[in-house]
Amino acid sequence: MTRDAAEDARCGAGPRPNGAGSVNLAAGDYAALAALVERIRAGEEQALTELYAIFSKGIRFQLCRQLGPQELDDKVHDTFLIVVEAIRRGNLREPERLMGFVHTIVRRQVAGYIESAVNRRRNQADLEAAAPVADERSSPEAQAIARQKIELMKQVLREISSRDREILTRFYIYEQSQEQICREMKLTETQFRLLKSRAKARFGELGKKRLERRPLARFFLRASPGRRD
Amino acid sequence: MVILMSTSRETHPSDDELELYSLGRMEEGQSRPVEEHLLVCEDCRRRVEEFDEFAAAMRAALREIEVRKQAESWTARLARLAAIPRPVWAAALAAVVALVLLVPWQQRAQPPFAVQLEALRQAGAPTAPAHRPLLVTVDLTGLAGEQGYRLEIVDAAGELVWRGTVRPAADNAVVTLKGGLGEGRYWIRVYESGGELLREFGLMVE
Repeated sequence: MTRDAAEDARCGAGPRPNGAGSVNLAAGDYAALAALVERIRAGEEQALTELYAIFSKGIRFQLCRQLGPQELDDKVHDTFLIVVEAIRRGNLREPERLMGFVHTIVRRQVAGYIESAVNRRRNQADLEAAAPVADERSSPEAQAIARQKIELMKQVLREISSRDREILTRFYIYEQSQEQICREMKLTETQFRLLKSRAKARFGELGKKRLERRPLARFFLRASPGRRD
Repeated sequence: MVILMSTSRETHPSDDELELYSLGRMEEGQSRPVEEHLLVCEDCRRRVEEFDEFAAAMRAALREIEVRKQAESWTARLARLAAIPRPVWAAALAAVVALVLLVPWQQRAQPPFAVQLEALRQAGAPTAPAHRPLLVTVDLTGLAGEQGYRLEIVDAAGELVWRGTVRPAADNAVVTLKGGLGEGRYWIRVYESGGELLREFGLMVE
């Protein structure tokens, strides 16, 4: 399977083989994943390539969100190997549950990395040298892009009423739930959603206009290599 | 060759769900199916990243607007004060003098906010309130051997805000910043006497 094919992969309608907690897939997809598991068990090399193409980006995405970008390639590789080994050993009893199985392994890996970080911290006094601390600062390019986005957002916020700004403040700054905001500000859920979606649309529109006005900006302000997947 | 066939938009998580996931405000039971979906769905991963970017820009913009609004309201108040008659001014001046005398006393009385900087990778830097005295405890575990360390605090632009020498005690060094720090992101750097950077900690002041 090519990388492009993997990028086009979607989840869609279909029965849930094990009820709640499963992700929706078409019936054919479950069968395809089950067949893939069988091919891995049978030792087919091509099946590993396909498994990697389907899951590697998703695994990378989740590991990066929860652990940060440090040593991400190694972590994705380790997780993939664990998945493959577990499949080969027959630990996946219901092959159609492959997605849930991979998710569980990713969760365990995250928990494991966090635990080992805590242990390393605990044992650090015994080590000769301290563990290096990651530099969390973003690149100047990324900072410039972030600054530009904030300015665009300020423009969006200046265009709306103070009441609408209060609604957004409650949701994004004070982390109040939609229900609480609607109750206290006497809004319907539709009005609340509409406000958010209009702000998003306007933000996107302004961003697009900014790029159109400055055709070279897309070139100069591209994301730094290595910061994203 | 396995290509997942499902393409129906109806069965992707809703925008509300993806946004709550992006904001980290989803219950454990709710997030599992979304995370499983994200394992195989490039479209929804992109949507989550869009929500991340939108929320980050929204938060920063709302905070900046709030700060500016507060500053503007002070300017407007001062303008109103300028229109007040002389006798009232005299009384106000007396009040200001009293305030000037009281403020340092209040600042001294205000207990410092304790910040613990640990040498452990963590998702976010610790946060501290702005313009309040700070008692910063820097974790020096594993750096034993030096009599003293040079400590520098720089802002997000890399400008030096504070510099000093600290002596470790029980794997920690404690620094008191009486005037506190303004809002923004700061980096606290620990150097050995030779000038080599040993550690760096992030600190968010809000």
